[in-house]
Amino acid sequence: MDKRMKIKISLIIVATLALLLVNAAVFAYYPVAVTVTGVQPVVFIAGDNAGEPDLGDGNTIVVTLGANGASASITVHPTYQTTYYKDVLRLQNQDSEKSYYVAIRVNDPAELEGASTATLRIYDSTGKFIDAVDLTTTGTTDWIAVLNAEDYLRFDLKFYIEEGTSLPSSETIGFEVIYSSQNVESAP
Amino acid sequence: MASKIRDKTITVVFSLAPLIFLLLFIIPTYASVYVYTPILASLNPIAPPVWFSDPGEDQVTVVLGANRTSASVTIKALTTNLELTFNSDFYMGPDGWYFVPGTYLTNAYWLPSYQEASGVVEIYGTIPGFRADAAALLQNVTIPSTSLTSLTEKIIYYYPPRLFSGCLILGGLYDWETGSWAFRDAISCNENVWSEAIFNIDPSAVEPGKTYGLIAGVMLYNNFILPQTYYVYYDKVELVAQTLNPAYSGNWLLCYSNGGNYRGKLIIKDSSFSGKINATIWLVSFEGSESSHIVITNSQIVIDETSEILFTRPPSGYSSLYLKIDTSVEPGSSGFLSLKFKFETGGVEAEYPLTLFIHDPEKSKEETVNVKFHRKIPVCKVRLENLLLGLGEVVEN
Repeated sequence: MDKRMKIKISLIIVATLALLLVNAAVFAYYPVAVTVTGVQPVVFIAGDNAGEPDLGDGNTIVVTLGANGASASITVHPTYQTTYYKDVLRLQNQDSEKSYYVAIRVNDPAELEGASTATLRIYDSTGKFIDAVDLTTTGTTDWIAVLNAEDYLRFDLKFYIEEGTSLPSSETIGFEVIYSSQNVESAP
Repeated sequence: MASKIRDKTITVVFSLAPLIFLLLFIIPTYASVYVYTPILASLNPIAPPVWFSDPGEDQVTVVLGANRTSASVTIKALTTNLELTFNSDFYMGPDGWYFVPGTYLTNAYWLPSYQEASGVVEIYGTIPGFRADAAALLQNVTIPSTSLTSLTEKIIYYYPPRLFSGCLILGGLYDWETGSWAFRDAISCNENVWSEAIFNIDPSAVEPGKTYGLIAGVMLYNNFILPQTYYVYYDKVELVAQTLNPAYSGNWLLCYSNGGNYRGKLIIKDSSFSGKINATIWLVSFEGSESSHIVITNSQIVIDETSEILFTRPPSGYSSLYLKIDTSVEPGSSGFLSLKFKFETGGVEAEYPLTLFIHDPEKSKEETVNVKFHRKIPVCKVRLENLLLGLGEVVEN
């Protein structure tokens, strides 16, 4: 590399650094009109077993969707040992082209005695098992599922309540379904 | 020349560096859009809507879990005094027994006591003058799947007599498959005293492993001109077998539901055997419907689950489901089964764990027969569930 070349490269590096550093100190104001168009490509819909009889005389599996299907609440009545609720809720992709990556974040975990467990089990629309999420600890999963265009994910709930422990009168579990068009970064 | 090309390449690469930096780190970040959709799950746990209970059989030891949603059961396979009837003494109620009414003898109740006997079944009705009628108690019993050396039906009854009347105590085994009697006989009643009617049945009259309807009936003749009301009381009805090989046939666990409509089944999860064991395991609902059988032949599991069976809250004094087994073992053999009882309704299914240990205690010199303890007797009377069965042949006897 001759001397002239070295000088050229040095000038490019200096110019780049100058751009990165100096530009930060320069303020240019261009008007931008932001048009917000609400879209809701992914919604909750009730699973096949929503509203079906639950354990205990007169009990049902209650699934209530938010006004726009952007939230859901589920009420179930498990008992001792293993209780499994299949297909109580679905996550439906209404977009005809785009796929989305899905993660689960547990904010308010179940507080159960002994070796009791609460698990969210996720299946694709063909019935293939995708992943299980522990609902007794806080945390955010990786992007565990891909929700293809016009496809859905099935959410099941599984509880194990250890015999001999006392049954809570009521227990609330709060968690979120996070979806994004990318899977490079974790959800903030 | 070559150095010029190289220099130009280096210039281009370094010129593109900022652009590559922007593409790699800044532009993708702009596409990171996240949508958060909340779900709230409310658990309202309930006391078990389905639970297990000890059948109280002499050959069966049951250890229930703290909430009766699990059980560990041990069955002693014996060769002598195999009581094939469930709840033969009516101590706690009429569970397992059905009433086959006649034309006039249309009532049957379980009573806590009568004439110093604890837990009895009363059959009564008014028979017009110069008429006769028959009624019976019935329970389905499964003959052990091994050769029998004897088979005896014993009925302890009490008959308060009426004027110009006749009374016969009826014993029998009804073959549901052929719709005929495998055995039937009648013995004249003793009056005003608890008495035993013993029927010795030829073992060749029955098929090992087959289920028969055991009948404990009464035939009453009113030879008086006026109608008379008759009462007959049963304190015990049992069918006892002696076998060549150690065996057990009957209930090994009971299951109750406090409401709802459920479908239940048994599934073997794990097993281990020592020696040779044959067994069939199945479920019978209160209504009498049966699941298909789990089959174990020569310590090999041939069929590892039953079919589903419907069950619900039973009438007072009865169980929702009877978990049954017919097993015979080679002397000294034993087997351990780990099972799950799976039941479902609507969109939910639940699983309760069970373990079942079958062994031949005679070989290991254990106690062969438990002494049945006396249980607290509820002070109410319970109506027996009717089962309409043509007893025409008995009436014409």
